[in-house]
This record gives sequence, structure tokens and C-alpha cells, in this order.
Amino acid sequence: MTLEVVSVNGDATSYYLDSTSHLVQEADGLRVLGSITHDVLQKVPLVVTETLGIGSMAPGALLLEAAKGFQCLSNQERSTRANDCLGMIKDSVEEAVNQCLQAAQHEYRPQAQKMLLRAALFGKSFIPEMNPEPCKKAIFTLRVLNAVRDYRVGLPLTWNELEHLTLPVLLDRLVYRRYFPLALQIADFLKLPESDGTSRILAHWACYKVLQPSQKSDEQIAKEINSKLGYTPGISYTDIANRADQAGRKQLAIKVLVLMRLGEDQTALRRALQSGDTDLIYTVLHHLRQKLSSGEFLMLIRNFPVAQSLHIRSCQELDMEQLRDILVQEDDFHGQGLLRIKEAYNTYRTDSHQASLVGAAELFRKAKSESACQMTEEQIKLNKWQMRLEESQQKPYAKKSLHDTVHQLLLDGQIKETEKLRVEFKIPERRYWWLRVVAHAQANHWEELANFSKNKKNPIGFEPFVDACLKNGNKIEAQKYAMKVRDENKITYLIKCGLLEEAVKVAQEQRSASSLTKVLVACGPQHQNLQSRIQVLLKVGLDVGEGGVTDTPATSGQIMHAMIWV
Amino acid sequence: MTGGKVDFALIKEATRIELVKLLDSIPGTKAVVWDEKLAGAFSHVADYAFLRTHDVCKMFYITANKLPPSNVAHIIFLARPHTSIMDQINQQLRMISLLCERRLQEHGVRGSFTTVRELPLLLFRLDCDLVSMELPLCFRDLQLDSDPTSVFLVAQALMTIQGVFGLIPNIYGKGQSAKQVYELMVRMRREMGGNEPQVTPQIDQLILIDRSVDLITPLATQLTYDGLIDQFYGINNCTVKLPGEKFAQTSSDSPPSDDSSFMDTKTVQLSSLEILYAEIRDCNFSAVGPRLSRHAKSVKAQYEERHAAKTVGELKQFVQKIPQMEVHKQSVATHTTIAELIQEQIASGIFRPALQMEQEFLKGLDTDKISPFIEDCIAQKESLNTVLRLICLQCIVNSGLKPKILEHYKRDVIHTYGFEHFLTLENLEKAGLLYVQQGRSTYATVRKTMQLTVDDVSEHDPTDMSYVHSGYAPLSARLVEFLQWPGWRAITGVLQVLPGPTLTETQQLPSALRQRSGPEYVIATTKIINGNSFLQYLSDELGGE
Repeated sequence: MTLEVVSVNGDATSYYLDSTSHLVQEADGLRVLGSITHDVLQKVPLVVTETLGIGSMAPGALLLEAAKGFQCLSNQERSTRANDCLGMIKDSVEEAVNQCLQAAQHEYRPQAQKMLLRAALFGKSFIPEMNPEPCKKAIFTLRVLNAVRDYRVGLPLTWNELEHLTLPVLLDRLVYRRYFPLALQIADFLKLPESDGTSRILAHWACYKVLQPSQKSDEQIAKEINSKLGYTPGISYTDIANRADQAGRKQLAIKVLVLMRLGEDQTALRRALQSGDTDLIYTVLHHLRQKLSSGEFLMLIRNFPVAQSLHIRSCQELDMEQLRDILVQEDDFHGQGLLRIKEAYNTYRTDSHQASLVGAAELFRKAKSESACQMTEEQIKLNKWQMRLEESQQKPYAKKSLHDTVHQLLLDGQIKETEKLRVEFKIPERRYWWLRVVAHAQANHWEELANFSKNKKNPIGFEPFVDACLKNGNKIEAQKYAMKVRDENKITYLIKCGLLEEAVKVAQEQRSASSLTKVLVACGPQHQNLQSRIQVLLKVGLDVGEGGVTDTPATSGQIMHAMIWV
Repeated sequence: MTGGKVDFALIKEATRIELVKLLDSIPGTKAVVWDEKLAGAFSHVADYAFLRTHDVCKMFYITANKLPPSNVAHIIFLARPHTSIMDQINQQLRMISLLCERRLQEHGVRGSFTTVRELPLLLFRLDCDLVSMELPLCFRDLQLDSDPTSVFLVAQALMTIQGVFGLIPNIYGKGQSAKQVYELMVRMRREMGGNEPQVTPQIDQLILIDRSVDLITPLATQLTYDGLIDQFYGINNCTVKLPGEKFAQTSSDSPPSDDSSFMDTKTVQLSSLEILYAEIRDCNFSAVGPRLSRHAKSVKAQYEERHAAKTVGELKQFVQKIPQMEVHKQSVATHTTIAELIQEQIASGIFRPALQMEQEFLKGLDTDKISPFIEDCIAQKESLNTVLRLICLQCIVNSGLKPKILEHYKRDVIHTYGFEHFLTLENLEKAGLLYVQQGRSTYATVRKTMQLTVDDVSEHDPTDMSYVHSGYAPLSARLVEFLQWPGWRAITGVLQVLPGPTLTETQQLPSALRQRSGPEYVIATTKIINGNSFLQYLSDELGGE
């Protein structure tokens, strides 16, 4: 099959086509679509003939020659050939440059384009004042043209066509052909404004994306879209969502809407966070809270720990319900438990107090906060005991700690009840003894105290007994226990109880000069006899006990010295 | 009294100018309604007489009661940005943070305010070498609520300081927040662009220390005169309220007019301007007695001089000295009384045994078992604060407690003091003061390298800072000391063990003239704390109200 091309002069050229072809008319040429080929037939522009024609003496041709000469390898040839040619176009270098540029624009092979562009640039270097824009435009545009002419894209556009179409239209065509990455790259490369370039392409991409049937879940698609679009401004999220909606994918539409809007808001929030200015962060948070639904808002801030904690903070003061929502969302059972405990103490009703505590214990168990759970449960148990006690004793026990409850019971002489509590709450021996001693003494139950002191397993010693008696003004009772005090404290406690005679005896037994001195210091004017006796003893004791005198070791650490006043 | 090279009086001036700017921007007579907590701090900036010159004719406190009627043109509320205060202002009618504004909006009273403005006062000068930001909740906000507001404010305050004293070329820091502060400072400086104040740098180094690096020191009892006054009576804005009966004979000399309703308390101003106080404030308390007695003797000797005065001229000289002597005598009397009060406090209660326990912990003795002393304290229901302080101290010194021990203590506390303190315990855990042991204790290394405990400390004639705790040297202060010599490079081991990143940065100065002299320290803090207040700010008692 042949294609006959006849010019107006009657000249004819024949082309052989190897398959049935279709002809498509273009503005400045003809496309020939065969079964496996796609050709462009075009009248060679005059400027190309002039520049590249054999034997042409046009300025462009000469400049090209000069440039070629300049690039020659051998030095001598380089200078003469370049010089000769340049000499011929001395006055029309600018014209030559333009010719080369235009020729390059109409050239299809990158090789030839490069050669011509090089020549143009070479010539341009002789005219410093020449406008660089045409060169720049030619280079950038040619790159784009070459890219779309690639057989994988298959848009054999001529320069003139592109001029008519304009770049945005070209991008649209690419987008319609779903060459999103190429379109994006072109937009980036030409540094097009975002509204014309990147964001428009991304918006188209997103719209396409939501229409595509896919294995992926709506959530995933929405996230993918979000990650691509990020913070690009000027994207209409509603459009994308509408598109999804039209395609009958309501869920996806909603998800897209949420994520899209978040993109914008995230930028604002991030900026505020970077500034470190809490007021600014609160401003953004407040704005977002009004703009977004509660769920969206919480989803957004959970990616920003500082923002989240600030929000929680403000909730603590203003909005407990929202705080609970956050903790539930975060599966923070421990935090929810703490909230329940706070609630328990904000109510005056015993039953709701108790109910809140039960709820808290449950949450602590869920959170695996064992110790918190245990303590809460103990408190619940204590409340129950107290309610029972209030009934049987007709006395207020609520809001008392375990310690105070036992103390009160002991003051009332309810020793059996306290024993029950001790077992129930596993009160350690030591603490229980202290409680008993202090309470018995306070209630003047001296007999009870004496009975209790006979218990063999005394974990606290007898010092507390003495102190408790003295504190409640019973020196006589105190004296009963003073002798049982541990040796190292005996002197001090005997003196405390006013048993100076005994103290002297003990000191003598201990052969301690310092103990004797202690007693001596404690002596008042009524103890003159004793005083002189000690002084004698001290003298003798020192003589006899040289080396044998054991002083109590100095307490570790430098404790306050006694002060001497004027 | 002016300090050394750097005097924070300049900061005070700057604050005052801000306040005046605000007041003068509102024409006509004004009544100021104070947030009570702010009033004390502001007294350092401007007194009533000063405010009067700026048309302030009435002053009230923010309370829940109605404002008395007055005929002023403007009412200014000066308040900290807390929502609870906004509630009070609301009640009173019938500052400035957004939350607060919103709270006022919620109450529908926002409209009755003409303007809500921010008064950017960050630093309050407490002494010539000490400024405080008066942010007592800083540590709590950061640790419990992860609220970084105070970090921002600290950075701003440091920018203010740099605005007055010039750029600080070397910045060192330890701890997470220190790093954040530094980063914000860098950012703020960048935002200022080239508009930096052209001031010759007067401060050579900035050392930022995050409280969480040194949790031990606030838990230890300070034994200086100043420290003990704060411990027992609490110093607020350089004043302390003491029980009045001891001062019966002296209080007639200067009856503070606003104090008439509190006859049972006496307010004493503590300031380094008072020569005697300046001398004894930082002494170990055991050294205070001898010094006071020496001063008492010198007062007596001065009075005795009148007998020696023979000629009229000599007599005149003596008479001229009398007012000064009177002041000195008054000062000796006041501080003797205060020292007596403290002595009583020390002698009574569990102060001494608790201190002994504390010092044993600090030496690393028996920190890995349940302390019978703490148990007994709980069993006797001693002050919860003391008990918690000891437990926290033991925990930190031991790098955490064994789960069983921690459990035991927690149960003991709840059993004795009540479940109301459950949240406080939670808070302490969140703040890193109570935790389960993980790994080996690092305290021994830190203690040894940093010489935290010193055995032969001289309380009367101290040569080492450990005298302030009678044997323990504050870790944070040691960090500063080691930075000076031999440098932090020598203690990298310790710095690794302590929490948070370490910071050594230099800020490029446009062109700096640097003169070096011996180190001289000025201190800026968010709040002056002691063991009691430190824990109080962290506690949350349930059902309190």
C-alpha cells in the first residue's frame, strides 16, 4: 500500500505503508496510524531546511558549523573552523541563535535537538545582553515533548501544537490517560503553580482512585490518598468524596473527607506545636474542635502526644465526659479507673461512691494494675465493714481510714472487732501493736495495756509503751515498762520516767561513764544526794573502768548540736 | 545592695515598665482586683504607693464575694490564668489564657470586660542574684499532665534575661526539659532574625538543669537557717509568717497596717539587705547560735560605750549611732526569736530521727529493705509528708524499690492515712519518685563520683557545700561545680546514668568581648521549693472539698 503526497506544484512523493492505515489530520501535519506503527508526516519547516540543509549558508547553518568546529577534538582545527564560520555571521549572530533554537524545536531526535541547542548556546555566549528566556523555554519544553513522545506514552505532539494546546491541557491529557506520575513530574519540573499543577493532578488521581474497584479496604484507600496528598493546598476534598459517593462508595467518601480535612488541620497543629507556645496550640485545638466532629478531632490529636495531653488537661478542668471518651478510645483502663475514683469522691451518696469504686477496681483489673486493683478492693471491703459497724455501734465510721477505724474501736474497747479487722485486712503485727499501745494508753485502759504487754511476741519493744504512757500523763504506768526497754535505750527511758536511782544502777552495771553523765545532767536541785553519788562514781568509775568503759556509739551522721544561748 | 556583675534589679525594672505600660494604657482612675497569689509576687515589683502614682485608687482581692461598690472608671483584674479563678471573677461580678477567656465566655460575662490582655511578666526578682518565675506547678505540669507550657515560659524568660544581659555564649544542660528549653530558645532567636539587642554579654554560661535529673535534693532536709525557716514556716515572696506570741514585746515597733486582723501571726520580711540575716541565712543552723550570740554581745558592747563617752563630742557621736544600733538590736532580737522557734521545732516531734534516717539513706545504708523507722512513723500516723518524703528518698537512692517493698509501703500509707491519698501515690509514681526497681542501683556510682556525701563536714566553718545538709551535697549544685572544674567530660559516666540528654552548646555571638573573672552565679528558677512543698504540689487529696 502506498501513500501518495502531491504538492500544489504537482510534485509527488510516495510512501510505502506495510499495513492498512488511517490518516489523522493535525494542525501542522498528518498522523498515519498503521496496525503497528504511528507516524507523523509533516512538511519540513523552512527554518530546519535553512539550518540543516546541505550547503546552506544561512546564519543558523554557519553557527551550527562554528559550534561543531569549536567542539572538534584537535585544537588547531577547532580554532580555525569556528573562527572562520563565526567571521561569516559576525553581524547576524542573534538571528543565527534564533534559527538554531527554532530548528531544535522542530527536530524530533534528541540527538539533533542537543546539537542545535548547543550551537544556539554557543552563539548566545557572544551576545551577553540576549534574553535567555527563549533558550530556557526551548530546553524545558523540548524535554517535556520528548517525554510525552515516548512510545510508552504515545503523544507525538509537535512544537506548534503544544503552543496551541498550552501546558495545562497537556497535563490534563496525561491525566486522562492516567499518566499521573509523569504529569506530576512534569508539573514539578516546570515548577508550575500548585493550583495548576500538583494539586490538580493529585485531585484527579484521588478521584480516579476512589472510582477504581480494589481489593483494598476503604480505610486503606483513604489512608493511601491521605499519605499522597499530605498537605497540598487547594485540593477540594469534597470533590473527591462526591466522586466516591457517585460511585456508590459512601463509606469511602466519608473516610476520604475525614482524612483530607485532617491533612490541612495537621499542618496548622504541627506548626503550633513547633512554636512551643501553649496558647497557640490551644487556639488551634479550639478551632479544630469546632470544625471537626468529636470523633475526627480525637483521631487527629492522638497523633500528636503534646496536643493530646493539653487537650486532656483542659478536659480535666472543663469536660469530664470528653476526657472519658479519650481514655476509652485509647483503651487506657488505668486512666479510666483513676477517673472513676475521682468520681467516687465527688459524690455524697454512699451507694454511688461504692459503685464507682467497684467500677474502678474492675477497670484496674482490666488494665492489669494489680496493686491498684487490690487497694481499691480493700477500700470497698473497708466501706462495707464500716457500714456494718455504723449499724452495730451507732457511731460514724465512714471516711475513716483503716487505721482510724481500728483506733476508734480500740478506744471503745471493742477488741474483738479489731481482731477481726486485723485478720481481714492482714494488718502487719508491727502496726497492729503500735495501734493497740497508743489507743489503750489514750483511752486510759491501763489494765488492757498491761495484759497486752504480756504477749510474748512483741515486735516493737517496750519503748512505745513508755512513750504512750508518758504522753497520756501516767508516769506510774510508764515506770512499769521502763525496765523492760532494750539495754541501749534503758538509761534514756529510765530518766524519762524519773527513775534516776534505777538509771544510776543500770549505768553502773553497764560500766558506762557517758550514761552516768547523762543521769547527772538530768538531776534537778532535789537530787543533790544522787548528784554527789554520781560524781563519786564517775571519779571511781573512770579510774577503775579505764578501757572498759563502753560508750554508746555516736549516731551516724552529724546531727544538730545543742545550742548555747546567751 | 547591689550584687556582682549581674544584678537582677534590671529585671525588676523591666517588669515594672511592663506593668506601667499596661496601667497607663487605660486612662482614668482604676481599681485593681488581685489574684491573691500574685499580690505577693507583685509587691516586689511595685508597691501601693507606686501604683497610686498611676491612678490606682483601690485594691481588692479576687474572692467569691461581691465587689464593694466603688466609683472608679476601670476595674482591672490581675489573675493567673486558671479557670478556677475565672469562676471566682464571675461570681464577683455579678488575664489571660485562651482557656480562661473561654471559661468567661461560657459564663456569658466575657462581654462585660472591655479588654482581656496578657501581662507578660515572667520573672520576679527575689534577691540581687535570684529570680523566680513563681511557677510552683511547673514540675507537676510537665510530669503529670505532660503540659509543656512552663518549658515555653522558661525559654521566654531566658530570652528576656538575654535581652537585658546579652546573649549567653555557652549553654550546658541536663535533662529532657533542659533540651526542650534550649531548642525553643534557638527557635525564638531565629524568629527574632537580626533584631537582637546589642548588649555586651555579661553572662558567660547558662546551665539548664531539669528537676527530674535531681529528685534527691528536694527530698532532703535543708539545714541552713534559711532552709529551716522555709521548712517549718514556709517562706513566700521573701516573707515568713510566724506565730505571734513570741514576738509580743517586739511587734509594737513596726505594726504592718494590713496585718491587724492576724494578731496571732507576725510577718517578717527576710531580705539580704538586713546585714545580720545576710550573714546567717546560709549558715548551717548549728552555726547560727554562736553567731547570734556574738552579735548580741556586740550590741551590748556598743551600748556600753555610752559610759566611755566623756566629752560632749563623744556623746554626740554616740547619739548619732543610736538609730543604727536600734535597727541592729531589733534585727538580733527578731532572729534570736526565730532561731528559738526553730530550735523548738527541731527538738519536738520526729524531726531529728527522721533526719537521721534520711542521712542513712543518703549514705546508701539499708535502702533495699523495709525501713522499720518508716513503718513506725506510719504506725504512729506521723505527718504524711514526712513519711512520703522518706519513702521517695529511699526509692530514688535505691534506684527503685522491690515490688514487694513498694507494695508494702503503699498499703501501709493507704491503711493509715486513708484511700483519699490513692491519687497522690499514683502521682508520685508518674512523676518518677516512686517506682519498681529495674536493674542495678546507680546511686552508689553517682554518690562516689560526685562526692554527694561527705563525712567530715564542718558546719561552723564550711569549706564544702555539703554543709547545707550536714553531710549531703546537692546533686544539681555538684553538677554545676563539676562543670566549672574539671568539666563535664570527666563525669560522663554519671551523666549517662542520670536521666535525660546532656547538652553542651555554644551560641554564636555577633562579636563578643569576653572578660573572665572567677565564676559568679546568678540563679533563675521556676519556683523555690522544699521537701514539703515539692510533695504538696504533687499531691491530690480526694474529697478534700
